[in-house]
Amino acid sequence: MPAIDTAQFLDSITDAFDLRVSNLGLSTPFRQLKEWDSMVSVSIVAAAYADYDVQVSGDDLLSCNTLGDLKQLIESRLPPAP
Amino acid sequence: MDQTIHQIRIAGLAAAVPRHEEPIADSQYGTPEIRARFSAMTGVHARRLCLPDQFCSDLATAAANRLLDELSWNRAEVENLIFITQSPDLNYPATACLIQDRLNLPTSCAAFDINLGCSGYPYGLFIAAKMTAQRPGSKTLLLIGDSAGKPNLASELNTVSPLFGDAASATALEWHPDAPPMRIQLHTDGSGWDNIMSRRAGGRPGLDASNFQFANEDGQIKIQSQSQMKGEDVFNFTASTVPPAIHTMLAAMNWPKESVDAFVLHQASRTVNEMLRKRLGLTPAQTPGSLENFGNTSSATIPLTLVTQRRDALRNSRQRLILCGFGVGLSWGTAACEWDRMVCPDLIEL
Repeated sequence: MPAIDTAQFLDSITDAFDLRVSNLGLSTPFRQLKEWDSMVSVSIVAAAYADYDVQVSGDDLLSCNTLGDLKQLIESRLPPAP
Repeated sequence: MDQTIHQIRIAGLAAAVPRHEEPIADSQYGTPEIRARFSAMTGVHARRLCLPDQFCSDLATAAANRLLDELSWNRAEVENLIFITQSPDLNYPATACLIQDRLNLPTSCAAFDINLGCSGYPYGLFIAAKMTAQRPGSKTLLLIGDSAGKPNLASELNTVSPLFGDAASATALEWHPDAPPMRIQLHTDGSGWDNIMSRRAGGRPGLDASNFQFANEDGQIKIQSQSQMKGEDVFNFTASTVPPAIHTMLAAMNWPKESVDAFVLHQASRTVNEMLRKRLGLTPAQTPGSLENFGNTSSATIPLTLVTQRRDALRNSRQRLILCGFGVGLSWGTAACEWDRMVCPDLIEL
């Protein structure tokens, strides 16, 4: 399975949180953070599409507990390299 | 559905909004920090809202009255009145019947409502054009809009409420032998029916306490079924459907992107519209918008954007346009048209 760059992925998620969180890691239970809300949720979906060309649904997000789960889900859907 | 309409001219276009403006920063929604994030993400900084005694039909009627006056149309010749709305005055009768009377249109006029939201304008153009008879003097009025912002009660649950603003518009269609063809492509994917929805009493799925609210407002009891939106899924639907729909239309018309004067897309939110603009490889100048000052005005976004951002061009020149509406249904449609010097009054404020 192709991998995505972890630092870049975490930067992108931090942006989706409007920089209100720091020190995110792959073990972070992102939906449990007090900064999590519907705007962050849509921003993550938009970022996954912009950065990786991958569509993540609302149900997909609910199936992920940690950012590592989300990264793995995105990686499993990466389009084949050109 | 893919059809080309011949010999139907857009004679005029008008739009109306309530005078009452709510700047998001000054609204009751969330906290100052949430309001700032909301405006940055959605691109909405202010919206217009109907007052308690103002309704979408008032906006549509005002737009139609102004347009009929400026066109100097003989009202007795209006054969069709179509009102596309999800904000009717009543469950029944159709609000178009009330508007027919308020506009002093003849009893020979056909009048009815259509229940469509964000995709409504291309649908409406198609239906209105098909109903306009192929003979001199045949006239149709297409009214479209919603008061999607008005009914929302303040609620912590109601996270989407400041996104929507109120607006309505009127488009005048008539037979003309030299009118350029107008091509319209319409689509539906009802499997996403619950991505954006509002329940009604006695309907399916039913109402329960979690999506049912009431409030006492100035002695009037207001009862509301919240609208529900799955923002993530709506984003993905739009990303999957709108760029291919526009590319298909451009190819069908054999129009290079650069030859189009404006791509007027439904104004959903900045996040969605910026994604579309980038995927389509268009500049901000090619994709005029109206989110900043008016919010997402549902089916009125396309005509409202045309009136507020392209009025002089519509009045004085021939404009090659791609119009694309998408959303609740799920439903989407694209129109490719060339509109030549129409009557287009300044934005009406009520």
